[in-house]
Amino acid sequence: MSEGFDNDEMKEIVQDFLQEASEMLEGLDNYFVQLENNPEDRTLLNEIFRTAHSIKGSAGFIGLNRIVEVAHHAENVLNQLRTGNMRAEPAVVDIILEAMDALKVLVNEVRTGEQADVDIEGINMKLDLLLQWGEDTHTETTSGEEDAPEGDMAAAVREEQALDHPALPEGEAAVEPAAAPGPSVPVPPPSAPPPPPSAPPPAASTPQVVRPATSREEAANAEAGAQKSPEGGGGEADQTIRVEISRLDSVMNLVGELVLGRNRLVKLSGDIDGITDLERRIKEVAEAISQLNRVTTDLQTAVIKTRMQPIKKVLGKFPRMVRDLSRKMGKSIRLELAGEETELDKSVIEEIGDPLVHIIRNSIDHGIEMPDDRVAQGKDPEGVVRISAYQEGNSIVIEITDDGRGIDPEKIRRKAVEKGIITEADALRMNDAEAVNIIFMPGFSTAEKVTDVSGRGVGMDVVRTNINKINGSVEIATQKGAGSTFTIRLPLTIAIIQALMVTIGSETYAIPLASVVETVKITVKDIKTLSGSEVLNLRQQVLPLIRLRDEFKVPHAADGSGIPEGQYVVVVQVGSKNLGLVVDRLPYQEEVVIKSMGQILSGIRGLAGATITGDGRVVIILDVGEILQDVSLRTKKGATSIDSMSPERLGAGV
Amino acid sequence: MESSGMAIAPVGRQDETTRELSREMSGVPGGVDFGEGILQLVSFRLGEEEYALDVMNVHEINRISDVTRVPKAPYFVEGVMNLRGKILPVINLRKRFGFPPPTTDAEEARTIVVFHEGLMVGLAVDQVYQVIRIGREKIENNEGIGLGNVLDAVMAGVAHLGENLVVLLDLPKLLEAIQKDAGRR
Repeated sequence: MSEGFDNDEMKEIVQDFLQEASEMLEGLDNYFVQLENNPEDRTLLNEIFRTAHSIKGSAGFIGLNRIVEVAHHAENVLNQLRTGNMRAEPAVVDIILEAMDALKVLVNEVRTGEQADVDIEGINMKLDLLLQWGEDTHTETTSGEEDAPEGDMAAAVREEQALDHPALPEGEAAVEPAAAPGPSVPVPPPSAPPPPPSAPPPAASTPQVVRPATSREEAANAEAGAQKSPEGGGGEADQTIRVEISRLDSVMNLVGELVLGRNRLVKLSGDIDGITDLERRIKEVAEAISQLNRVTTDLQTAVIKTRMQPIKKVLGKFPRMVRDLSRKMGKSIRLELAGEETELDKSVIEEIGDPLVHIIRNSIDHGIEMPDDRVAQGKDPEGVVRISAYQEGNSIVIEITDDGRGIDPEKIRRKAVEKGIITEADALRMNDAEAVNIIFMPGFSTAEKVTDVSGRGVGMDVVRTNINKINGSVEIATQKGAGSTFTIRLPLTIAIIQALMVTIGSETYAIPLASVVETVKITVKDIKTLSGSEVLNLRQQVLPLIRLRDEFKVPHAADGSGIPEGQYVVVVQVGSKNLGLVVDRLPYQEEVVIKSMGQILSGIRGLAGATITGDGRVVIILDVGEILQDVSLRTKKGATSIDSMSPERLGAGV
Repeated sequence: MESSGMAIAPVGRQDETTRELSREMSGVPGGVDFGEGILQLVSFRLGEEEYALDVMNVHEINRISDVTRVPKAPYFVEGVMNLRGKILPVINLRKRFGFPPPTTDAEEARTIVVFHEGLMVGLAVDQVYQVIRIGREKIENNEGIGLGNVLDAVMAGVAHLGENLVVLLDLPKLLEAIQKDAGRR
């Protein structure tokens, strides 16, 4: 907006508005999807109206006229809905949602200060036409004509349109093909997208969103707590976070204790001259330190808690997405959400959105069949996509399940061989579960061929890469004809992790403890080779090895000491794959804060970042997932793959 | 500069630098008034040659201490160091410009911490000389005078300081080139 808010106070008001408006619009999206399922829900309608009205009010207050204009026209339509003069048919909701999207863009325009390309006129015109049509049907119905014939309505609309907007060429004032069983809707002016395909028969398909059994009031509050930037709104991460007062209070209390502990130490170190009983003094200092230790640990937890947010923040935008996608594709899909209150670190929440969108789109595009096909297979015509989140130990699990056609492991094998990702022999040896997980390998795009539906050009490997980036893992289980389940495992927080410190020569590295299965002491002689790859026979299982010394080209120690005879193997696991990392020593474990190494060094494969240890040195943290991926790629290119090594073969090889 | 272990040395050097500075500033009386046409440069040594960076891009100058090698990093990355709790990548300018490794001991070696558009890196150099003030007109804008491709691409000009020639580096270009090469791996 050009008015240029130069004083700070105004800036603050605008900031508040931006946040509030984004949250409200996000909330409205979901209300509308809900409304479609319960068009008669008065409470919901009132809530919607109130929300839209307050957006208009606040925007008007700070003079954001473009927003007011759209909000005003939308409000008129909403009022018709509220008073029962119009029903929230999918086609009606389509147009309202379009207006909401325009509002999101306009709100973002205020945020960025760049004029966005929004056809306000067009949207207002559509809303007005909707209004007009709503009034017409209303008068018709009230005059006793329960089922107004399609043609009349269309004609009425055309007439109105011609009257109201004489400049509009007659031909473009077309009406949605009367094929739809529901009432038709005036089709928008030239700039609008093509009309949506005719809605599926309502009886069989009213999409229904199952929400947790909270009262509307609670839902509204929680919705307000979610503060996702609008879809397609530039994607910049939020720079602010809302924290419950109680959480801040607990941080404050702990800081108070921290100060007490410090004062105690300062006092103890202050009057050194007065020391008579040294032993007692040492005991006092030790006590003070242990108190500080306890308080910092609690403080750490408390601060982490302030960063935790319910996963609802991400899941909240899916009902709308699923609705739009299924309408577009003429599929009938019900989205079920569970565990929306599960909490995750803000940074994880930010990173997990895109992979989830990708997986869900994939399930809708390729998983769920068309209603007719489903009926032919004896399934419910309505497909179900279910997202559930829950905590399991120290990780958060998100499962995305669909009851679609599933993935055919044979097709995957064939395609992987075709693309040269695995060899013919590998394909034969792999079991179905392994074969299906090939879709996550780089160079294998499910979007292209598996279902012969043209894809978006991004493969599932991107999903896995993004999830690995935040120390998570993703796997898929599928049953042909019955559906697929994606299981994502995420750490509770990504800022602080337990790490196993390892040394190679004079260098120290940190391995995230979450991926360490065990450590084994070996001598160099225990390392065998199998088809050129080094392996360890660990309890009759073949464990592929890599020597970090060679992998990282660690220089020889300055004191001339060579590689120690006794070595350690750190057995790491990601997904179902194991790998042994050969290192010199395992000095200790430590809780480390992961820090980025900056833009220049962020792209190095196998390194997750760095941390600063107690003595001020920088230690590199390994990315076990990437190391495993690279090693298995390397071996796949060679004669043997990790998967093909069986204990029997090792027996023959050694 | 609060890096431990260098508290004493730089203070002395600072004085020296200031003195040098007023000597160099023949054109500007008093050395306080920074006119439009005056550039302030930090000059440093790489091998036998003198280079300089705009002082506005220099955050601080540190002794090189405890640099952790980063495996698989581009050849010109010396490693990372702890800059008061931040991880700072250190670029070895010698390696970047293709100079042979230093023959003298590293007693004088320093890290110049520079920043530009949110990117902060350390540049490892053999020795930091002084802050120079110099009139813009004394800088020859001769880019690409055949000092090799790597250097040509990142130099802003050559300054004449009495007998000496100082190569003025264009930091944004240097960082851009470094980032491009790092991304290419």
